[in-house]
Amino acid sequence: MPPEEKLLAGARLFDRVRLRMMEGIRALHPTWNDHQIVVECRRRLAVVRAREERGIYTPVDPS
Amino acid sequence: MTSDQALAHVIDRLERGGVGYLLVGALSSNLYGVPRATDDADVEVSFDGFDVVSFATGLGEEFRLDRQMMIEGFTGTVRYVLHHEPSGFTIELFRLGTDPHHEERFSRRRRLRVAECRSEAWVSTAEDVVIQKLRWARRKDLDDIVNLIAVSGDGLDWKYVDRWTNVHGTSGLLADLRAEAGH
Repeated sequence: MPPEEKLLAGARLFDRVRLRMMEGIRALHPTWNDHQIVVECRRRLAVVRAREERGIYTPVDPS
Repeated sequence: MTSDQALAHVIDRLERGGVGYLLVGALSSNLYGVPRATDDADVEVSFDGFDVVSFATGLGEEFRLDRQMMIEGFTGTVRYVLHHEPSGFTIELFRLGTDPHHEERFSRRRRLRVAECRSEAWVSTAEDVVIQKLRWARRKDLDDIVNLIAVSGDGLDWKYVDRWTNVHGTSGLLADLRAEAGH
C-alpha cells in the first residue's frame, strides 16, 4: 500500500468496522430500526473512547 | 461522505486556508507502521489567526463542533472535537502550545501526498510518532509503537528519539518495546 493510501487507511478501516458492528447489533436485535442501531453503535464507540481518554483529558471552562 | 472523505475534506480546507497544521496520532503511525482502524484523526493546529468556530462552520452541515474544550494532561494541550455526523468519525484539533517537544515536532513535520486530497498534507515524522505515543502509553499506543519499530525501526533517527525519551522519562519503556519489536 503506497504512503498516500496508508494515511487515510485508518478512516476507511473504521467505516468497515462500523458496518460490521451495525450488522452485529442488527443480528442481536432484529426488531430494532436503523436509528436504534446507529444509537447503539455510537454508544459502544463512546464507551470505548471514554475508557481510553480517562485520566488524559479534562474539560476546560471557556470562561 | 465517508470517514476518509470527511478527513480529506478537512485537510483540503486547512490547506486552502493556509493554516499551519500537522497530522499526528494514529494517522501518522499507520503511515509508518501497520494500518489499523481508527475512529478519529488527530490534527495539531497553529491557532495563530485560526478561528475554530468559523472553520467548523465552513466544513458544511455534516460536521458539528463540540463546544466543550478539553485539556490534555501530559502537555496541557487544548483540544476541540469535530464530529462527522454521518460516519461517526471525529477529527480532533489540538492547539499547538508551548510543549517543547510539540514545538520541535511541528518544525520537523514533512509533506506527503494524500489520496483523495487536492494537495499534499503535513504529517509527523516517525520519530515524533514514537516519542508522543510513549508519553500517552495506552495499550493501543504501545501496540502502534511496536509495529512501527518492527516495520520502520532501521530508518529512525534514534539519537533524536533517545534525547526526548530521556527528557520525558520514557527511555525504559522504549527499551522494552524495542526488544518486543525485535529491534
